[in-house]
Amino acid sequence: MKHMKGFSLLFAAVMLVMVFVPLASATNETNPTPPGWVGQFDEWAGQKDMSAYSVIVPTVPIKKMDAETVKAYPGVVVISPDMKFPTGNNAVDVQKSSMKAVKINFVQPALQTNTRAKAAAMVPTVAPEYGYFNWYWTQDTVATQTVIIHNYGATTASGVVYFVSIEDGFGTPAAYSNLAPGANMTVSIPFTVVGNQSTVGIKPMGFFITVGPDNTVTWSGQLDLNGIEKYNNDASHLPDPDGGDNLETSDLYHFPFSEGYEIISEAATAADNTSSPFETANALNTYVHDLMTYTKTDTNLCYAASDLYIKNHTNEGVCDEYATMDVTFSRSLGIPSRFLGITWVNETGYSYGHAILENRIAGAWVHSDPTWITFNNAQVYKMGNNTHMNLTKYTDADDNRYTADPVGDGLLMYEDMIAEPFGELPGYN
Amino acid sequence: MKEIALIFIIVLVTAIVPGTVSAAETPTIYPGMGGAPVEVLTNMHPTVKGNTIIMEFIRECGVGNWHEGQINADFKSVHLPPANSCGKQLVFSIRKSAGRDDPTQITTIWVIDANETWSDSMDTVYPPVTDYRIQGFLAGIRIDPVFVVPCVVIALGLLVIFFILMRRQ
Repeated sequence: MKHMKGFSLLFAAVMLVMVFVPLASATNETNPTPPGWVGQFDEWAGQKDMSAYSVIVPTVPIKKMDAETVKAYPGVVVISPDMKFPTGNNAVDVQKSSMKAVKINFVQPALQTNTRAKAAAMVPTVAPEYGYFNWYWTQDTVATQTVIIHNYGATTASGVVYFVSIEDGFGTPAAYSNLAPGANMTVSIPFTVVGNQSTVGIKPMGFFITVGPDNTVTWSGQLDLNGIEKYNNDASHLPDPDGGDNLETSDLYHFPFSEGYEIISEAATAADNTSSPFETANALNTYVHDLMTYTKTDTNLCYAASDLYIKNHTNEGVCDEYATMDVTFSRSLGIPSRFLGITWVNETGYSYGHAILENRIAGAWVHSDPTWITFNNAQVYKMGNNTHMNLTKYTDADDNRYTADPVGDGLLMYEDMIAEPFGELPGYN
Repeated sequence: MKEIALIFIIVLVTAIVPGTVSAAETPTIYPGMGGAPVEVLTNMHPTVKGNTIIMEFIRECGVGNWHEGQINADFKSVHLPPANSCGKQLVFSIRKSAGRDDPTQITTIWVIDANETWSDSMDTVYPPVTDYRIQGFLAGIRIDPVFVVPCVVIALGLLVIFFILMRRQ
């Protein structure tokens, strides 16, 4: 019996040890990390407050036009939310469109077939035949829209054509008068792009036509092509400190050329409904990271590929292709951006070459690294125990500059660009 | 005088030649050159460093010329070929919308034969890494199944021995 008690106590003690020792071991934070274990790199993933280096711009809330804003923009009117803009009654005339203005043809309205009823109609039907529409809108400027209207009625017509940013609920009117039956008239509408309470990105365009003193709507519709709103780069908005060098197109960045609508519309879609340059640039950083497919080929390593080359090669590339896409998207929406090469020495003494960009926002250059999907965090390289972060701006890409390299293939050598060494900038070191 | 000239020439040659060779050998580092594959990988996807399966693969096989692929609108795949002859390759999927430091960014891991063609419908050799495991790791919890299972077996063994001893008493 004595032995039984001894064994029972021993058994209980062993069981307790068996339970508590593994639990204590598992939850012990002082448990040393095994050599080579990944935990030793955990500090790499941390964040650091970089507000002292880069200005953090608060997001502006989206508002509908209020009375004060309307007063500040003469000629702008608020459009009733009840106004309808049907689609499908127009088509882009690709052959007669330019990048500046797109020609859109309109379907002839379904008219009253009864001649007597048509003649007796009090309000003649005025509808568009075609028009030229400026779709690339710069905030706080005028984008002139031209509509050729036709009087399908039996009496002379007078009225108003309203061009509208459907999403933002405002428009600009232009009056017409004495439009004879069966005649055409060209109406120019000085559409004001209200930047104060608006967002950048995709802007569905529409317009409607009224007739008579009662403003009877005889036609309305949404255009088959969306407008794209971008930031204004004049001195009172978002200026480029280098006189436009960081907004230019080149052999790397193709957004304003005829083949560049793809670039602009993609950027506008990616950053749609962002309302500050900081928010827009951050959205583009994330978008580029997700869009691109990291693929290390000899071509990607040796050359800087243009935006169109990258688009035509399934968005493949390494960090300089990532940076190129982010620069072209940012510039196309009016955010001054510069492509930077950065080198550093890692903790084992080896040199590392990388490509990033900076966006000009609220008077400061804000770091952006779409490859690493990090934004406004220039210390991220230092946090990885790297030293001597050395930056060089690459600008004015021209495929003809370096003659040993084939021209016009969308692949540029770094000798095709002008390098401006910045050295070891304090924000990164 | 001749000796002095000779010494002077030798000193000159000794000073110039290594300097010239050294200068000529200094490589230009262009943007896009990156660094070692594993360094580029962990810079781009830092949560890799918190994943035991991937890091064990890297320790065993190294990382060759890795690349990404697009699975669909929500996921990408990352393909790690071995740097040595371990005979395996690793593929993992990442969630696009996840942030750089999001521990749930890596969703599924496949370890397959080095010559095998990967497809996202393949069975994984390792079970998918759940959020719980990654979060647990990052929280400092180190419960390792390799450690727990033998402990349970030993405990059961001791229980049987004690039971037998008690019966004999």
